[in-house]
Amino acid sequence: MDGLLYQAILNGILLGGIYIAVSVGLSFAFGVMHLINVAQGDLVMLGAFMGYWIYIFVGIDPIFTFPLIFIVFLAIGYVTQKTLVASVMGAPPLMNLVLFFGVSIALGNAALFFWSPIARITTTGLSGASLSLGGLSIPIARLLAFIFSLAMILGLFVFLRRTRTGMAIVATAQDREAARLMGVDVEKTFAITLGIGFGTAGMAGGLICQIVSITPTMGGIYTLFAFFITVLGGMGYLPGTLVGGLLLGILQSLIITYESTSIVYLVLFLILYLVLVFRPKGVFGKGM
Amino acid sequence: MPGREDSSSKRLLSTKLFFVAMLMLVFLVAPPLGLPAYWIRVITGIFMWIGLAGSWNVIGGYVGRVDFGHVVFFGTGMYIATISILEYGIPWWISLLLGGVGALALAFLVGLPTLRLMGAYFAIATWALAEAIKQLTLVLKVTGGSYGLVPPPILSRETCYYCMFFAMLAMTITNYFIERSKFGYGLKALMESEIAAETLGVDTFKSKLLAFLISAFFPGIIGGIYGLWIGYVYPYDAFSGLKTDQMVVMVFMGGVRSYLGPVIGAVFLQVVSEILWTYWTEVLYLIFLGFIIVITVIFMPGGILGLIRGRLPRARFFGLEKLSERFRS
Repeated sequence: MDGLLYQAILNGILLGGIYIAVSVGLSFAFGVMHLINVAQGDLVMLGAFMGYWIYIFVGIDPIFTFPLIFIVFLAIGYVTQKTLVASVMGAPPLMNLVLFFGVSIALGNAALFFWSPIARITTTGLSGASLSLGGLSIPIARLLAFIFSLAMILGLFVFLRRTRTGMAIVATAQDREAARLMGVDVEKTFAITLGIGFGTAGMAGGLICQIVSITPTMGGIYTLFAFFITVLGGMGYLPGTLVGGLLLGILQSLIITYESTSIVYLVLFLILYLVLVFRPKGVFGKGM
Repeated sequence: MPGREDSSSKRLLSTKLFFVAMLMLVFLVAPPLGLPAYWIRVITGIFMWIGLAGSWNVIGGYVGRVDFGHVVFFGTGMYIATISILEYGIPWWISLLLGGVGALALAFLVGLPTLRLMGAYFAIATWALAEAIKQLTLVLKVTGGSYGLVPPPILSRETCYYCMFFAMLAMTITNYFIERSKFGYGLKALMESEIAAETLGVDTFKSKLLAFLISAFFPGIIGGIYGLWIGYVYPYDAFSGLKTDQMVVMVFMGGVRSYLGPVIGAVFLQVVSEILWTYWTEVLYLIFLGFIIVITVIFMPGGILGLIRGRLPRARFFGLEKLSERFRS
């Protein structure tokens, strides 16, 4: 059954493209400010619900609202850094871990309170439509989500290399104090960094909501995905997340196709643990 | 504060000891004197959480490694105790010990590679391991999969109460002595700087491992008692991430890195949750829990103990002011 194998790999790649967007913010925030956002998955969940509600009330296909979601989450991230996170920046490093841990519990359960645990699926005009190519079927919604996700990541790379703000972020990541001496507004840079981290997570949610069903409790799984990709690629090493995302997508797709779904999380958590213990800098050894 | 004890502080210490002993005596004699079943249940729960939070304080507080998967030792003890009773008919008190030893063995196996990781890496690794083992119990035959196991109802409510009481007491006393031992000072030193501690002659790896073992043993025992008390053992309860969450919250709320912090945090949160659950749903309680964490981290990083210290600077609260001062800096 070669066709099945190729189809599984193709599905994995398409899914992996979105997983890159899920995790890039986590790796980015860790690389620049040594901050571990354990609420990453909950932001994905909120982004997904935003896409869903916009579709329900306004009728715009979530595949096209992701720029709006990105901007809203960027603003939320900016404000979060300036208020909540800035107040623990001087504290021991484990404090911001615990802080986001609290944010995660509050967000996930607030969503559960308002939206109840039922699963929601966004059915739009694009759902079910697919291209067929050499015996493989490519769902258009997934393909678009994949393309938009990669375009966004590419945009982020260009932003970091070509703009003054982007270069300030890179400089801050390399040496915080040196950047400050060169006149970089480090606090503002941090706020933009967390904003981008939040923005990409929310955007990923918006892209996901028309592909899989969404629930308020989905955050934990996407936090796992984000950590899996980030750790595999090397924490703080952005190109690593590209490979990690695709790897996760393909791995998940293959396990679901050939084994049962019940062991997916067992395998993922075990790999995550083993990579952390034996290759803490990621499979390329380029993490921090 | 060794070396600085004059006669008045000695008298103060013996007064404190007297009050603590009286309090413990009250807890010991209360059930046969007709403590209502409802209160036995509530207080057993409080004992359990004091023990669990105290165990988290050893690795998360004294060693300073945030363990996001500490519930794994609780669940392991719970399953080992239950399986050894169900499958092998081992007497309950030996099976409880087996649960503790099983958790100890797991901590040893896991600790060797995991304790080399720092900060966030350690946190993610422990979380991943706990979730992996939860997933494993979901697919294994011996653990009964997602249906779980039903231990026989061999322990009365009162026996569970006393078991939890002694587990809690043992954990808190252990923490008290860790703080005052050479071992504890070594941990404090390695938390500040591992390299500096090493040069001063602290065997940092051995100290970390020993602390990890201590912090795993007690949840193993408590998990076994909990299984017999609740009478139902299944993966989503035994390895529930919420249990780790609560341990972390209790330690930070009460005051991290002090043997009293987990006690204060556990009593406070258990009482509050008991009240809230009467009127609220679990979801609202969890939202509240999240907010408590955020508020604690931002406004009172020293926990309730830190607040007491801040308000009463001269009160010499069990000699802890220096500890929380260090934490603030």
